[in-house]
Amino acid sequence: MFSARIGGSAALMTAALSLGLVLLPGCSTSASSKAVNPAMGENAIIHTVTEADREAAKSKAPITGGAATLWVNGLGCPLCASNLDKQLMRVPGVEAVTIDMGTGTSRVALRADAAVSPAQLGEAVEDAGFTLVKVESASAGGGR
Amino acid sequence: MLGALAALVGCGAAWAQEAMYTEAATMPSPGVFVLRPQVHYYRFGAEPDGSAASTERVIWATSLQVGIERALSLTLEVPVAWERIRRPDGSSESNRGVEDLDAMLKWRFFKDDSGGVDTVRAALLAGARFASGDNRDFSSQSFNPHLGAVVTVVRGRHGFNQEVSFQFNTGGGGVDNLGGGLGPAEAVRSNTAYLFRLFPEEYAADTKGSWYLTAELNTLYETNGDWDVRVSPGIMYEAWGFAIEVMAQLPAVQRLNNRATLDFGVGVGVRITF
Repeated sequence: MFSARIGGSAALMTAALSLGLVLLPGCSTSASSKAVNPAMGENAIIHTVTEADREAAKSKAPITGGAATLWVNGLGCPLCASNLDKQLMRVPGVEAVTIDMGTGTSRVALRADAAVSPAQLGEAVEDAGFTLVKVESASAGGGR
Repeated sequence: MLGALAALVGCGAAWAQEAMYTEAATMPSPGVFVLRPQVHYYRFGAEPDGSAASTERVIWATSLQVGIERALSLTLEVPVAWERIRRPDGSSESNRGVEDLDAMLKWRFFKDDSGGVDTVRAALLAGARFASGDNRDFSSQSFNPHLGAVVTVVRGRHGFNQEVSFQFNTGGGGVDNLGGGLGPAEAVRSNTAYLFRLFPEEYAADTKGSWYLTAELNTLYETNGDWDVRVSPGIMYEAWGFAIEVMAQLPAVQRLNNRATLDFGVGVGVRITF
């Protein structure tokens, strides 16, 4: 009952805010990876994510290739990003984390013998206060 | 301020900036601490009862916030104060002490991260200010619960925080309520903050820090009828693991019958995460 009420209020709040933003000139909800916002003269980082990507990000199967790129939503200021850094480094098997705020991604290097799953990384991202929308292992083309 | 708010809803692509006097619906992650020492200087005018011609007050407020679990944090604050009172007869006196301590839980009950940096968040604030043990004028010698909520919206280079809270003052009859809100009347606060990321215009792979312009509207209503509205412009730098902030506070509306009006205030602070 309580959570249903909270959920309802939250949805209402989001709807109201979203409506306000969408109605304004220059505000776009398109899903390109770098959506140009004419009103602000800048690029917005909007990750292109499919439902399959979101489901794959919850997978408990170990990531192969020794590294992964995480597409993270809600990642803004450098001070906030340090939260993500700290939580990912706590996941057993994670050796190094590099955050690229220009693309809204985080590159995670894994120990060779580690069995780290997207779900584990997703929990760490949620702990940090952000939202994981896509995980790409190095073997799947996420390596750089 | 209206112009700033209008600019906010223009949209674009950043996040979680928190201004000096307004809460944000953001918090450290579990097991992470944020140490936030701040120094505030205020100059106040004459007391309505004629007991002081002017007062200068310096407050060294140190807060420590810790992430308890996902979406829940605890903040403890200790405000140490020093003041110099100029009497109408030209004499002056100085006092120092500790204002009421503050403990506050912040629970983020809503989060919608819609883009790489865009987010909407909301949190409940619940806590209490309580006697510091100071036996002079600085502590209310009472236990004063407060309850509130805050919404944070970030769109591109624009950040917006709106906080509303109510403080139930159970005592405070003898306290020097110079800054307002310490009682004995109940206090209602509304703090609005707008933050604009000056630099970088866009984040890049090598971004190590961001500069922000901040503008706040800080409103305090006390049930004794006093209205205090302040405008607080400032600048802030956030880097990887720390932030530096400098703000000013200027009176906008001061309908005060029970305490002195504010001439101006300035504040400087840092935030360090570990």
